[in-house]
Amino acid sequence: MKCVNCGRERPETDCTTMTLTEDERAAILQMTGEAPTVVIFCKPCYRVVTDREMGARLISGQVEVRLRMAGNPKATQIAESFYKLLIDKSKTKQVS
Amino acid sequence: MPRKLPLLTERSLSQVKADRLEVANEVVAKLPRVSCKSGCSACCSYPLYISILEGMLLYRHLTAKGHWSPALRKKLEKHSEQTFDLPAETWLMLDLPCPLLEKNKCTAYDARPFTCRTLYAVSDPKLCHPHRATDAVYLDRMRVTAKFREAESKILARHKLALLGMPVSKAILVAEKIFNGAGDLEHYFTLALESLRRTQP
Repeated sequence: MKCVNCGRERPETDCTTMTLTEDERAAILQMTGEAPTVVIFCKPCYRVVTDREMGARLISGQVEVRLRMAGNPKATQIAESFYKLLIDKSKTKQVS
Repeated sequence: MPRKLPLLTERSLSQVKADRLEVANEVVAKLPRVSCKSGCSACCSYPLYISILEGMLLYRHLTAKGHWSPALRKKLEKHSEQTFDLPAETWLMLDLPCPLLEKNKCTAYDARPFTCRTLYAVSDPKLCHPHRATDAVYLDRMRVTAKFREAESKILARHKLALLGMPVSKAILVAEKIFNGAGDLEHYFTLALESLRRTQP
């Protein structure tokens, strides 16, 4: 199985499969044009994404890198705002 | 108080310490070109994998200097759980500071691993942030790194061991077990796996 975060191939026993809700599927469809029913994480990545603070750091870090690669001069500021938004949402349980 | 180690292990630790200093000095000789400044700790959030030998040198330094504490141990355990088997790219994205860093200073500077001793930026320090690190330019250290890894491999081979890089926190925690008598250096792989099984979700 392939981890959706790091792309490493791992045996099924070393992976965690998450079934997406309809809302999550709709959000991913809007962002990527694809709507998977499940996402697979390897154990180390799953540990990170299920940790409220680490998960937010990882996602905002990836956002910053992609924005920077796209030449956005405000990549750092946008990523910092996104990090705060994710932390706030996780406190109100809008994201896990 | 850490126990007295077998003579062969003590000799190996002394040798890796001496080799590290000698090889790292080859990089230090080029220092006038670097842009690193005291107090900058951007690279202290980079993925750091070290051998058990360097882990033991760090543990010994931390205990000798009185820096070892239950709080530091807890910090190392958390860092180890977060980073063990984590891909380096993901680790970099986390911007996760080294557990030995306090107020932008290394608490084990005198015993810092080879990787830390030889990583010097020559580009604008702003580029060293983990999210920008691919744009930064560093002093070339490929040759010295290969030389040091070869030296470490030779030392470990005396104990019939192979060189294995572990996250810095994991290496220090395994070293603690060796110094506290849970096993000898020759058992480090088993000790690393034992603690890993306990941290699996």
